[in-house]
Amino acid sequence: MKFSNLKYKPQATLSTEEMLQISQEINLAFTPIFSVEIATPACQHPLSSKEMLQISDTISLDFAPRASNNTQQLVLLPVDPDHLYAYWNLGDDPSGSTQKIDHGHPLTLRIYSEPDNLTDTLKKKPYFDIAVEGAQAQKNIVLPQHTYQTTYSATLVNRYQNISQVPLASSNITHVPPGKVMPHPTKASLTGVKSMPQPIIVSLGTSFYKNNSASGQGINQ
Amino acid sequence: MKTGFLSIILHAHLPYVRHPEHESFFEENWLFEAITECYIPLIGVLDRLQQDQVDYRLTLSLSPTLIAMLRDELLKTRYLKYLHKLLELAEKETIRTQDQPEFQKLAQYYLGFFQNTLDTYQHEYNCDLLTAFKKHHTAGTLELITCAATHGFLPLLNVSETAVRNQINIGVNTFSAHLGFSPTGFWLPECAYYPGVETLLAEAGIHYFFVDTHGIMDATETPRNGVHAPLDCGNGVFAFGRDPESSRQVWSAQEGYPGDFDYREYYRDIGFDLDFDYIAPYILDGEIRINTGIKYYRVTGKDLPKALYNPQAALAKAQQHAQDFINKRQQQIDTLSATMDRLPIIIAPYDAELFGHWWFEGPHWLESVLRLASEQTNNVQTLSCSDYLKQQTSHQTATPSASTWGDQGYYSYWINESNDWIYPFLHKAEADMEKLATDLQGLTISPLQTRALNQAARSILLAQASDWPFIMKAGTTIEYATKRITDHLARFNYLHDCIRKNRINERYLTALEIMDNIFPDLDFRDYNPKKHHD
Repeated sequence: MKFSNLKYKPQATLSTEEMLQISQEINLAFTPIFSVEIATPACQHPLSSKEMLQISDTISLDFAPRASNNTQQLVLLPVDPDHLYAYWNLGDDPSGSTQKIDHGHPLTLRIYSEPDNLTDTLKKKPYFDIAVEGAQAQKNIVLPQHTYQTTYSATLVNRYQNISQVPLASSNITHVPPGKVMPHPTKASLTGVKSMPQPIIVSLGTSFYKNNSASGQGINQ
Repeated sequence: MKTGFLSIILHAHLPYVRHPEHESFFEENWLFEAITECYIPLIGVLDRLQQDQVDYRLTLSLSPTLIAMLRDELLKTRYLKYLHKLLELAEKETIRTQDQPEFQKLAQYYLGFFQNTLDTYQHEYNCDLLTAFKKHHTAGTLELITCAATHGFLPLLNVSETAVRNQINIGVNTFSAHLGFSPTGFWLPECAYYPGVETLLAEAGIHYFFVDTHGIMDATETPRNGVHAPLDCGNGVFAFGRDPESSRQVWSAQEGYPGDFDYREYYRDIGFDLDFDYIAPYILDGEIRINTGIKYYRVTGKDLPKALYNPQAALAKAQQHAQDFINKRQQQIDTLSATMDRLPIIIAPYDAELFGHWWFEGPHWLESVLRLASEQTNNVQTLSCSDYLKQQTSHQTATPSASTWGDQGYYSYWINESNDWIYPFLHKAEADMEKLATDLQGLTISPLQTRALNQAARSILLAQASDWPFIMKAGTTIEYATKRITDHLARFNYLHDCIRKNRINERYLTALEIMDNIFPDLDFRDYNPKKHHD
């Protein structure tokens, strides 16, 4: 049955606009979709949000990552065909060399390279030296051109002492691919030595909200 | 007759963003926006294709963090609240625009879109989207694969083989626990490959993975078929290479489909366009303007005033672009088939979140591509990589070259002046965790200590996500990314200290377990490197 067939005679008259407005107001307030129950979480937490936040903040403040002082290490990381990244920490060396370094004695980072297709293990590995400073530091290293995947390793020694002495630290072995970096490289940052980061404590009052996309990742290709 | 294959792979991933320590938390919207604009529309595509009995194959990579979030009760509840608020705003918009019929039509369109989203999510799939995806996997049309546990950037974690092994194995185990079967394919986070990772993938039962174009082209042997056939890495694990042409058509900022003038403009949202007092209840804390998801304009064109969005015209354009995509694949396959010793396979991987979120019409384009490919009149057949490997049994053996699909093609986006400071900390935490697990080998460990050790491992995994250095470099939510990585490292340091001193505060531990509740089946003993070698 059509509505117009009904013998319903309203007493008041309303304009089309008024009827539309009333209809939309009723929709807004009473549309059934909003009456759907929103489920409560299945698991009720034994701690309140506030308690959890307090614990989180306390831990973040008291246990923020700090540069280690007790582990001697030299780590190489591959970046691209033209670059390696090195960081080191000479820690508390019982020989006292770390103390000398802290008072300004410069260091040499010796980088050994060997193409992965080279099988002659008896041949001495070629190397190049880079002057560096700091008992805890990191550096981007520009590599010579290479057409094969190449294996790199490194040692760190005092610059003005006999190079045959035992190194202060030896690195892991890492592999760098052949080829060229794609166009428009951003190499501005790839020089210079940086100090190891200081302890990082984000201000608890700082808002880290920002308008962002779903993944935080745009079209980056 | 079909003379070549097209394999479309969508990689769905979001970092683990879940904050029960706050009543509401803005970054959780990343998930809610993706559910609304990407995952539910994608399920709609799959449902319609099934209903129409379209013969297609599609691959979807679900990252373990996304899997965990989609199953999380707290996030499900918060998503429903988010959606109800969005419905309220859309309803309000139909009233506000009553004197602007063109805008009102769009407001009604959004109201219908959000109502359909709620209906699909709550009533059709009972708030469980994984079951929806699995339905299509069971039907044989959707291949589901997974990724590393927290999307760790594996080449820069490879200072420790144990770190990489755990990222892979915990990822695979999480997928299996939620989906009920083991994945055969694996999405390397950021397509970041280094020679040797295939050994760990084989250990985890993985048969294939993906690399970018130059990963194949710069392999140890010149690839006979370019990127249009996989390489056997020498251990029975296969590397498929991204096809540059099909990628460019979708990804390119200049020539890519999503930039078409008829498509919806992502950057014009009523959260920024409307009067502050009106929009205040729907923005962040009533103070900071954010995207709401309601957008009235189309891309229009460079330096032109934005024109109103027309959904019908946009969908028609998506259909045209789908036809163009298939035509170009046909031409490509014709050319390739003439020179190859086998049927070529075109690998077309994309971030799933491109479809629907960035490119609103993307799901419709995808549906049209899959429908067109299924027609008998063309020579393209969609196929999954595992089906391809069943059909084609002999392959060239070579090791791919280190590579990623990111800017510059290697690792520099994830290690540069904006984010390099994280690696000494990540490596140290990993080393401390491994030493802890090694030192405790053979000792009796109490249930409380076991809980603390497992939680320490969770903290490390969450700190290792590739999303944090990515965001630091992209410059989007740097403070949040920095806080997340330092918080997880601090939580690890705290737990490490408690365990070493045997002074575990159960209340604190419980709080950390609630806040970082991912990977419930994780076993800290897997961080003992000797366990693998014994």
